[in-house]
Amino acid sequence: MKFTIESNELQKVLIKISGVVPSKSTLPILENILFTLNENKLTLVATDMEISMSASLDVRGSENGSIAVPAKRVMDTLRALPDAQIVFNADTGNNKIKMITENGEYNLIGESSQDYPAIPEFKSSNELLIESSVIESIISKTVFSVSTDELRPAMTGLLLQFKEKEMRAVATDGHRLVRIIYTNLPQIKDQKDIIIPSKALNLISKAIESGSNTVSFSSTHIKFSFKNLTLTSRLIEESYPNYESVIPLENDKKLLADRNILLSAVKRVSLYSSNTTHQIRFSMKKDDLKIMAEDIDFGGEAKEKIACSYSAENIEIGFNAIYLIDILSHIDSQEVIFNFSSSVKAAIIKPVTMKENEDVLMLVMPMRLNV
Amino acid sequence: MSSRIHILSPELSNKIAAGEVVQRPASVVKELIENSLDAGATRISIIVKDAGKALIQVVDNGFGMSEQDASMSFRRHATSKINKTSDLEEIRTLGFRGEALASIAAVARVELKTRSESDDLATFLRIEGDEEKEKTKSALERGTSITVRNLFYNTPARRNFLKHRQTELKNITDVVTRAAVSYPEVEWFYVSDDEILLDLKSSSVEGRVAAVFGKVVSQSLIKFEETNDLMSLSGFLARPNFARKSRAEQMVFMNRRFIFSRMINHAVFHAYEHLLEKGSFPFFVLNLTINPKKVDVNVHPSKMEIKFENDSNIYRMILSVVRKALVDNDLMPSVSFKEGDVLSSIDAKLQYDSQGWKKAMESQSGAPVFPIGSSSNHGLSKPTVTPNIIGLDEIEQSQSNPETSFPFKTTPPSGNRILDQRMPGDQSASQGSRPIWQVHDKYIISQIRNGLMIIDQHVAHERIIYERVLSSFENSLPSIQQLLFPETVEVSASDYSLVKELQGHLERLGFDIKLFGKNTVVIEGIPADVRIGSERKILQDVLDEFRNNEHAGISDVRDNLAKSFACKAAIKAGDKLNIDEMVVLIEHLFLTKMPFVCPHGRPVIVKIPLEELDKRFGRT
Repeated sequence: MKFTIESNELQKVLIKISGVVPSKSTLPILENILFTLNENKLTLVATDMEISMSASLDVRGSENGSIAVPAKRVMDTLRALPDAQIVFNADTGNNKIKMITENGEYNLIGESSQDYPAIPEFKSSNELLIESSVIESIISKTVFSVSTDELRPAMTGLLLQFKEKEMRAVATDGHRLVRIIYTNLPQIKDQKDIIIPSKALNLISKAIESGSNTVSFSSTHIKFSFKNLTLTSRLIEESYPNYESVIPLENDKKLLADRNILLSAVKRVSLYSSNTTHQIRFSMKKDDLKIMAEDIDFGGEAKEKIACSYSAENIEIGFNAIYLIDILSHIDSQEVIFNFSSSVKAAIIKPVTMKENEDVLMLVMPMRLNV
Repeated sequence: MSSRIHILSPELSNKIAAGEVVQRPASVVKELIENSLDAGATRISIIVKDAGKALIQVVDNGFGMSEQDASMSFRRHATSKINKTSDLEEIRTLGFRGEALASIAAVARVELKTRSESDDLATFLRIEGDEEKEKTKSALERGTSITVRNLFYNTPARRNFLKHRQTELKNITDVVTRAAVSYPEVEWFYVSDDEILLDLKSSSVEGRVAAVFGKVVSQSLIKFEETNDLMSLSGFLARPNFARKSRAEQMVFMNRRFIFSRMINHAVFHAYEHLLEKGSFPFFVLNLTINPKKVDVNVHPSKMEIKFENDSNIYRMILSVVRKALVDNDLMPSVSFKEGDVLSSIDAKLQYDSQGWKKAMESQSGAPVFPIGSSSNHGLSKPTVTPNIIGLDEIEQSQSNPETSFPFKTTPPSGNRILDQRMPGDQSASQGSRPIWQVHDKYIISQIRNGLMIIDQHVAHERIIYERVLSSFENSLPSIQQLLFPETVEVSASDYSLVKELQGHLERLGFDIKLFGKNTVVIEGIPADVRIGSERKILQDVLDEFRNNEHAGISDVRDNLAKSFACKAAIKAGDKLNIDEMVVLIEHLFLTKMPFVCPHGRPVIVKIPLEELDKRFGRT
């Protein structure tokens, strides 16, 4: 196998897919990236057996072939090189790889492409055409509240629910929840719920390119196909908790505030919260929101007053500041609405202005105040 | 009709009385030493043969006695120490009952030689079975010498009941040691079968403790002193890592009298509480000085038991004084290596010269692994552990710019100097320069001013949580993070009833739990510092641990719950921590009352002093 390529072009593509490569694996072959050359097309494949990514790029090929290349070594080399032309020459017989630049020659040992696991093929039952921007927005607004708790695998992924012409994306870790409803979509054939692992989402958001993309999925796998890149991931086959039942409907206390002002106030005040609980409290009176925090262990407290519109009865409610900061920084509206009911019930946070066909709802569980 | 009841002969009644006062050779030694001390002696020699069965001789340089007094002294209820009934209320001497010499004389052959300041010649008396067999004059320095031979020669039953020689000798040694500790100003000379066991010069209390118990113990001692209107209390406490497996080495002196009081011992043990592992006991010496009117020592002829006028006050005072003394001191064990372990510098040099590094390293048992052992417990195998009285204010932030990098916040609470300074939590500080590392995802190593400190992350966190939980039991509710999806847990019937029983306490821990009936509980909220998702497991673990602790005899529900929760909620060995987490952990650790020991008594911090490292590298 032999081809010539600009080092930065190869590097650009490798960065996108190398996130899949596991740093430690029981299968050492997975620490490689599979290079396959067919005429002037180089295809790169990386997998951790759950998620596989493949990307292709144009090169000046001179000898077809396929070899597994140690990911870290080749990435490190490319990073250290200035923009330069590389001649990549691999002997598929003894797995010796030679990378030649104008001034240097780098020899490394690869592994046989025969040993590299194949990307799983699945029979897709559904296909969607989605704009990259929509995918990006779904991911960025939800992924932060996906759980990392291995004990509840369902919640470690993003739930996609299809109903009639609508799609719901839901993420929660049991303390907060994000639900986005997209309406007016083309009808979907098989209306099954799927749960996509958060690692796949993170990888997509790094690799995505603008344009329109196909997403196809079955009950076990999902595949995102972009122009030069595909990502195939196994789905989390678990049943998602009944999130609708925990979204309160009777939250009648409404607070309206400027998102940026609120966010930066919460950030400042939270510096004075306990660094184990991160508890801050909201104290609301008519058109008056006070944010407070105190650190009993080390001493120190902070208060801030914020203009808002609030007309229900006085209430005090505690939150984990980190959750609030996460939520407020993932809303892209000038103003936000909080809906409260009591100091031990979930609070709902919504952007005031939303895009057409998009309904965003975020929810955070309070911290019971120590009174 | 002859009368069946008659008065016992003096000889017989003395023998009966002797049964109480003179139980074994050690009792004789104790009575004689106490007489010497009461006589104001500054030098006392004790000579025993065959563990006191053949000979006990006590020689002092006290007041001595006149000829008349000498004869009187062997009479029953004859004493110079008290006069009238009111004296009994306020006993300032060790003896007062007037029984000892008469009792001893009833069961042994006794010779007395004594001379008071005013007499020219000493009186010599030989007494056998209550009778004066000989009375002559002889020469002697001022003082008294009493020789007791053939103890129990006329009471074979008692003689046969004596324990093995070693045991009896140990009893005598204990008596002498106790007196020596209580009277450090007195010179002591103690010989058994021509072997000198103690030869103590007059010294301070510290000096005496060191002389009697050895340097290692004495270096680990915490000295304390406290006085209130009720009494004054002083003494020494051993750091917990010097705890012994037996209750033997606890000494309590009340007005310089060795006493045994379960109440006092309990107070001290209680103060050590979780600092000790189960089954080990602290070494301590306690001196109580108390108005003699407030105590009654006349409970038993041996006067080891006493009655206090107000037990609970004394208990509380001892508890709080001892606790304070412990808390105020740095209990961090530090590690030094055994002599033989350290490369002797000459040896090392030779090896470097002739064979190079590799050989030298190999000669050091293969690899340069530091034999750092946990400090307390089990006979101290490899490292010798010396305690160190250095506050933790010495945690250094960075080596490079000590002047500018001291933005330490000062925390006000408690008089604990350990808390005076702490790690800055400033996130913007350049992280690379902060000398904290995690090794094997298990220990945190940090540079301190004169060496390095190793913290066991699990027990450190355990200690933090434990104290937080205890304080939340007493104060307000903790922060409870409400759950979006209440966790329904099915438990066994016995766990269900346990949860029911503990529900109130669990809520104070931060668990918002509803009982659903049919062995189902619903967790609606969890402590804010419990990691997300582990709520079900933690509850179950806490219940299990609670049971275990109950079996192990922790009876206090809150304490047990706090320990169980702390153990289960704490980060584990194997959890990776980032720099900030470690900083927070260390900060919180040093805010606790007892950062050096985990609630189960294991050490949290081990310190390796720089000198130790220097020594290790032959940089001496």
